Amino acid sequence: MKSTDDRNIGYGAVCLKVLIASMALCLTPMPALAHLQDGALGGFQSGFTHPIVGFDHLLAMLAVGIWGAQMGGRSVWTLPVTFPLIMAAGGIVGISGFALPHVELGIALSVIVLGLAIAFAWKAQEWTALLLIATFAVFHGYAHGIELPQAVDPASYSIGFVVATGVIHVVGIGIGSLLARPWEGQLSRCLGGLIAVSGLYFAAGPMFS
Amino acid sequence: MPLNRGLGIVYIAAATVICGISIGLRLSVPIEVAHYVDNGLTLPIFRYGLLFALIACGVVLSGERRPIALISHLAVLVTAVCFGLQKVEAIVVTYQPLLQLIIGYPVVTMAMGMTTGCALLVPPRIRIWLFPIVAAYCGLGLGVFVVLESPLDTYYGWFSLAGGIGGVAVVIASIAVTDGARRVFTKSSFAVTERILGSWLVAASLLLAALTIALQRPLDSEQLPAAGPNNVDVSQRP
Repeated sequence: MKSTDDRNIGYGAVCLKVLIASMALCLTPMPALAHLQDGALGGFQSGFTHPIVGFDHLLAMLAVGIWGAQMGGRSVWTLPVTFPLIMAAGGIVGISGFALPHVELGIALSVIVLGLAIAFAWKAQEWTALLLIATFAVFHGYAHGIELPQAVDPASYSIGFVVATGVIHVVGIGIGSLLARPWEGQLSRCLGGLIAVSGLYFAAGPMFS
Repeated sequence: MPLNRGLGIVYIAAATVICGISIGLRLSVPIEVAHYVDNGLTLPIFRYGLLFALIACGVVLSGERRPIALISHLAVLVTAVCFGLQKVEAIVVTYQPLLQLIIGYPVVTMAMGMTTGCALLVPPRIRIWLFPIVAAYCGLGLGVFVVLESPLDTYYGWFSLAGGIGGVAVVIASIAVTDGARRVFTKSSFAVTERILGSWLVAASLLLAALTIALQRPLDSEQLPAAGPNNVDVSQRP
């Protein structure tokens, strides 16, 4: 049986989590609505919502977090840390104006491959996983990079989408960690299968257009 | 994690001092200056790049577990802010190309983000040696950023002072909240979050650097403040 002190510590921990979440929300700056923020390429808000509203980006980034959590060990952080860094490199390629072929197909392929990796609980070697993640991150970064110079506030837009990417990874790690235990990780693998099927849908567009 | 009363006292003392100074400043200024103080205090919250860099600075400094060392890092931060507010302005304004670079591009926040991001990505045993560097660099960056954001009129000094105080308050709040989070979450999950935050900052800074080079849109020289008597256009004199 838990003592009163233990219960108080548990209650305190929950309160502190809520407090931290509330403070994080309070620290989130509110953009001036008079600015041109409503367009597809505005400032921070536009950049932040872009990876969340675009389901291909969202699923791929979620999959990175889930796969990292599923593999465990150092991969929990090496995968989600590598992705934004290489994505920034891809973004730079996009900003420079270099023409990268089959970007949409590459993004769709990232969703399929990462979904399958989760579905089959692939315990890849670290360098293999990182190489795979880095390759796909270039496509995601490029897709954002070509849009960046047209943004109303490119600096805030880029910060917004990088932060959103990180948040999605953290959520992915959380989902992966939560689903790792029930039914010996079968839920996590089912989710991976669903992500892979969604990837097929995204791939159909560029292939048949 | 065991209770560290010394650190708790440092947080309470720092929060009390910063709140006391802010409220005292706000109440003591004349009514026509009040909104300069208000805008200055809230400036670091409404500049995304600066806000993230300051929060990351707090996350880095929260790794310091010795109260006296934390006080010394905060002292370095405050000294660097004061130096940035007082001295760097004169240096930067004297060298027009440097001023043009800083005003035209997000150089200050980019460098702050890169520094704090790299500090978060390195292993904790190396990070210990980076605390004073991060504190000094972020303090200096905050000072320069606030001075360059200040309105060009009589009361800009109040705005700069309030901006510096607001920035230091963000760092102190970030240190305290991060320390609280350290106690709630497991060590491994916290280390993962720290590194992801570091990767955000480095990635965003890299993108800003690329944008800076790609867009190439410095301000016109007419928009820059005069550097001194040498810049007076003698041809316009009667």
